[in-house]
Amino acid sequence: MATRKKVLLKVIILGDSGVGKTSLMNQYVNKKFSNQYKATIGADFLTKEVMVDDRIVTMQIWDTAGQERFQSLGVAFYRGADCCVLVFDVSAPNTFKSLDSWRDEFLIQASPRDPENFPFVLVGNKVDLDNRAVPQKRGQQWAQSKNNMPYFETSAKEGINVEQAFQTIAKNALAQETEVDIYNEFPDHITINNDSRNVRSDNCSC
Amino acid sequence: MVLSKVVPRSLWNFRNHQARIHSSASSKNDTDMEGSLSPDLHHDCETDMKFEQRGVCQKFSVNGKRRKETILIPGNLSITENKYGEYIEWKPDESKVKNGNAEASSSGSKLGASGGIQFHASKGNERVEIKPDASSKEFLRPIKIELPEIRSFIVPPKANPREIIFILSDGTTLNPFIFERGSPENLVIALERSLRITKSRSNSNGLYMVGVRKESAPTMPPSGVLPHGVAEILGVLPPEHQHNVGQLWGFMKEMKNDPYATACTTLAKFGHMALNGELPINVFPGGSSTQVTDSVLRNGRLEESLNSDANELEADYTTNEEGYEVIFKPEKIGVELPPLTYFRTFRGQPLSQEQWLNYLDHEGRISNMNEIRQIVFYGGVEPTIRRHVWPILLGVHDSKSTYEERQCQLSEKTCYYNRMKMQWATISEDQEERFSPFRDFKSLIEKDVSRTDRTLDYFKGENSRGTDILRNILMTYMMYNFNLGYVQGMSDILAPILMETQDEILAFWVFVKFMDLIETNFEMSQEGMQRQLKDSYTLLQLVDPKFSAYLEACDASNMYFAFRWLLIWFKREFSFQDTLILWEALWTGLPGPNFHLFVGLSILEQHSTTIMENKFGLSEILRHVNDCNENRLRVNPHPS
Repeated sequence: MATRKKVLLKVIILGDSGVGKTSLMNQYVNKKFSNQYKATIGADFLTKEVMVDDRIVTMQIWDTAGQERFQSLGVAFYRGADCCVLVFDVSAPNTFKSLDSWRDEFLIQASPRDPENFPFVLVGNKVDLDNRAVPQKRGQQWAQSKNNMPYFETSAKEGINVEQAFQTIAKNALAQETEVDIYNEFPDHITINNDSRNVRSDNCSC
Repeated sequence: MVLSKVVPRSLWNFRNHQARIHSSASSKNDTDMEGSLSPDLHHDCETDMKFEQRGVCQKFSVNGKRRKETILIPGNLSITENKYGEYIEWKPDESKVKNGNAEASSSGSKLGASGGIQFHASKGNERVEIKPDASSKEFLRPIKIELPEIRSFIVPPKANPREIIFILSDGTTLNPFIFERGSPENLVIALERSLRITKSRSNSNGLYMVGVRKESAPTMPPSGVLPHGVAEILGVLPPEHQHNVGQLWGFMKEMKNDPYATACTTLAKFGHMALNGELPINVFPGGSSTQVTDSVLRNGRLEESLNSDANELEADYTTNEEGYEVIFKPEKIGVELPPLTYFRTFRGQPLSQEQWLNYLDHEGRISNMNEIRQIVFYGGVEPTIRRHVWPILLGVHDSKSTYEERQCQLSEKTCYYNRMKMQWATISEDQEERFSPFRDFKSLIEKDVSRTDRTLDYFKGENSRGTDILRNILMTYMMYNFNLGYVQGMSDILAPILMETQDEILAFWVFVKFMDLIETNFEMSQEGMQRQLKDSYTLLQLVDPKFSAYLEACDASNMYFAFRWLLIWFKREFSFQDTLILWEALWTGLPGPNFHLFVGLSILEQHSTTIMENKFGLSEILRHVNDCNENRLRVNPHPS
């Protein structure tokens, strides 16, 4: 099992400043929350290995600065993204209004192969707060109107729904990654005589 | 060394083998989180203990009130194996953590617990008690890393007690492990059973590269693959150049103690091109070199060295009799730099109150501002007189002004400040509704103020006074310069100035002048940042052609990983006090207006070997650079 090929899934988290992008990432990867995260400057990422559909995949989760003007420089890191997570704060309607522009901007900058079907996931964060201002229904409607993207309401602080959201993110990203492989005209390895995949699945002990 | 079979207790029940630090988290919905996605790969499976060393501390560096403090958490380091793979694990020593009668360990670290965890940090012989708070738990987080995730490690040869620092395949650098008992060598011997370990090509740096032995080799994640072309670049390097790496590294080690010296010597490499702010950056690569050569030649001294014994030295990078290193001739660039020698620089003494008063005449005029700048550049300013020196250094007041004039200006500036403060303070919520640019800036300021340096006493706690003043100044600056408004990073720039002066009005005007210097960093177009990143790369091409070619081959020649360094002048990289020392030096404007780029380059040069030998790609370089924080970077004000 040790020789099984690892897959790298690149996930980009976007959204207005202060919606909790860094917190979501840290809650998912390190299972911790701090209200002392600093504003993200530039970009950063964390990796986590997970099992999706019986495959071990490495998720590389990219956290970005929320202020719009800093986006243009970060695009170098968005290339090859397999999934994009759009985050808003359910207590701040403005962050919900920005979703369209975040989505559009991503599609322009990352220019995925098939923009129509590129996997996005919508996350409404901070459901632990009392002063909720964006009703669940509005989030759902928006997600539906955008090619029916999955929608999760989370609390990075309390760890609510974070795992479930990233589970979907990983699955959709893997589906995307697999599709890209099919279209890849120059695969890294071509095995002619020895179908190693069959051998593996027969002998795999895990 | 202990060989035994153990079944992990629930405390060490890790649920995934991620490349980052693993945690035995205490989140309340742990069980929910398992899901089908990340089944507990380690639960209920037997674990072989292949190596164990007690008395290995994890070393943390934290910001104390005035200085860096080191925290050592005692624990045990082990190599374990289960059916999924082999791991290196570190766990805090529970008996010392939970037992109130914790004994002080040999290096002065101590853990105790009575109604919370108390840490005693050590700095030299001094002990500092750190109050228990939520973040203390951070220090007790166990670590578990799959062996193939280790890309390299460093065993600093001279460290006492001995230590080992691991670098992972995604570029993460772990905190050092300090061996109070045993030695890193025993661990390395144990690791060698599973990993292929080779010493770095450079000799004395203690860097070891790690490969995976074939029989147990899971493939590296795709991100770790050497980008196409890099191998060629490394491959074509003639053997006689390979020892450059060692030379460089040796030099880097010296630089670690003194970034200024580093920066100065870097500067020395290309002479005086920077002095006039006329860095010849627009002609590379491939462009005509005439322009550059002309501008270089216009400078007398450089011309001299151009005509000097260039031929004797051009062959290689050598060490001359005095022990100074000589740079080899750079290639591939449209300009050929003359060989220059490194010179050693030492930090001087900070500008003292006595010196400062001596420079003031009886009416308060400063007799020789240039000398003051020199002193500040080389030695900084004594903290007690910063509030007097900074405003002059930055031009809040003219150096030729008298005490009386400055007093007069100050009261004008106070009025002006208060007027602008009233402007935002009197905007009602109703008005805000129809004033969206204002509302957006305000909301950003609120968000950032509440997460700027909150761990420092001055900004600690709910509604701390420091945080209130930080907000006031940023709101007022928004009114002062509404075209720019508030941009993220500004709160980082202001916080150290405010904390040091603790004076709202003074801090505002110092901040205004500092912002004048770096305003383009924050502009909407980001052209200023783009230009600096591009310039940095061009300089790197001159200083270290091999490394710059490496970066280009891995698509990192945009230097985006240095973005944070340049945006807020290394504020997140150095401790508070070190940041101020660095900023003071940069505020002098010596030796030229772009000196901060050289500081960035010198930090990068320290890591070039690590980056190249680890074969880091774009994302790993970013990860590595983001980890170069205050735990690893120091300004050493007086090495002598």
